[in-house]
Amino acid sequence: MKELQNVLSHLTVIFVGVFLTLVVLNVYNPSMQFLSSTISQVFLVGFCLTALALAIVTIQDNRRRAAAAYRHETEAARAKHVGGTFTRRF
Amino acid sequence: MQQKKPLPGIVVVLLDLLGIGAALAIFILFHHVLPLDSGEPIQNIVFGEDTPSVVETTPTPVPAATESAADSETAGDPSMSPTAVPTPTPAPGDFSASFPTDEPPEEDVFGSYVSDNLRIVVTEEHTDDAVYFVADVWIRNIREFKTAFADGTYGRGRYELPSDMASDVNAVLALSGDCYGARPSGIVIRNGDLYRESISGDVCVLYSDGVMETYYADEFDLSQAVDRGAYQAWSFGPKLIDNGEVPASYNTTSAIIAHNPRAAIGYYEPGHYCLLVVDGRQPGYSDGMTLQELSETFLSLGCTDAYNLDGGQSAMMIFNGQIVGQPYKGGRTISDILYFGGSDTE
Repeated sequence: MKELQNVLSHLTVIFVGVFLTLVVLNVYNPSMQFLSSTISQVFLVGFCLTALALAIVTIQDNRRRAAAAYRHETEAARAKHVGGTFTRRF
Repeated sequence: MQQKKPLPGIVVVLLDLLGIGAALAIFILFHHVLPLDSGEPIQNIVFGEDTPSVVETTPTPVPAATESAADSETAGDPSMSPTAVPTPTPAPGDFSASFPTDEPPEEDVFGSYVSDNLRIVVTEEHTDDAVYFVADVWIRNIREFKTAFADGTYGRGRYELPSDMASDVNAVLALSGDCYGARPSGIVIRNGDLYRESISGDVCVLYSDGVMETYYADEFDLSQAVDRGAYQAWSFGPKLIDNGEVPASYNTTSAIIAHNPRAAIGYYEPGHYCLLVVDGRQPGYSDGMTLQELSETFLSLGCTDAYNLDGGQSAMMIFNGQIVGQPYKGGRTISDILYFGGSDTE
């Protein structure tokens, strides 16, 4: 999961770099259609899919961490509760 | 499990930059380099079997230099056979009635060329911060107004220096075109054939009756232009004259509107046009023109319509085999030229 997240993050950075470059080029020469050509659309779809995959992986990872943290906190609370009862018994 | 030591931050940044460079290289390869189109026209508009011929000119002696071109023109077109009967009134596309017969001026001109079907006078002009060249062109027949593709074939990803294309067709006068191949869309009609029908930006159409009209992108109707006999059409722009005045705004970005080298075409009347090239980006010699200055220049020349073609480093005019003026960085390879004289393209 971590490896995939890492790869997707770098792919997103690369797509961002490409599109920022194309936006600047488009300002200077809009007739070249740097942002509306077929290959631009292909890159845009790639960018969207990469960003979506990164988002899904990140959300999954965050949920897994949150669940783990919740489980950890619950178990700690239970242990504390059990420990308290145990203390009271003695 | 032992964790791998992470790469240093600078290496990660450099690898990402390398990735961006590789992705841009792939983009440029597909966007700009690889030939993508078939090379075949979608429709023959003007000289197809179903359309009337516009070439029944009154008979005139053909100069030796253009005789072979005339022969090749007539070879595949029955309407051009030597036995064709001249029409009593000029056919559309025949401008014999208005074609000037006087000698061109010899003083204060950069160069001139006169034949039975073509009259060109090139002059050099100066403003405070620009040097430009005006080619005043008269043609006897619409077929004298020609265009050529790089490598002689329509298609994106094909590029040649304008001077090489002009040399290939032995053009007397040539001007860099709209570089249609740099974009995936934009109307392309050349020598009566429709090659691309998607609209992108303002459009300039030269009809087979010699009338040249420019259109804002949202006003252009391709089917109307085809029905009317569109002979040439370019897609770069913007349109430079709006109802006889400088346009209130231009359909392009501020970078294009600013001072730049320019290539543009102007229209006086059927059979009478002017080509203009402005040197630029060369401090101390010529800065170039803004689009507003270009519009004002065409209006001062007396043009009723004018259109901006691909400028910047692409702008180049060739007259009698010589490059006119000083193209920025010597010019660059583009997709097409418009030209007069010389041989026809296939």
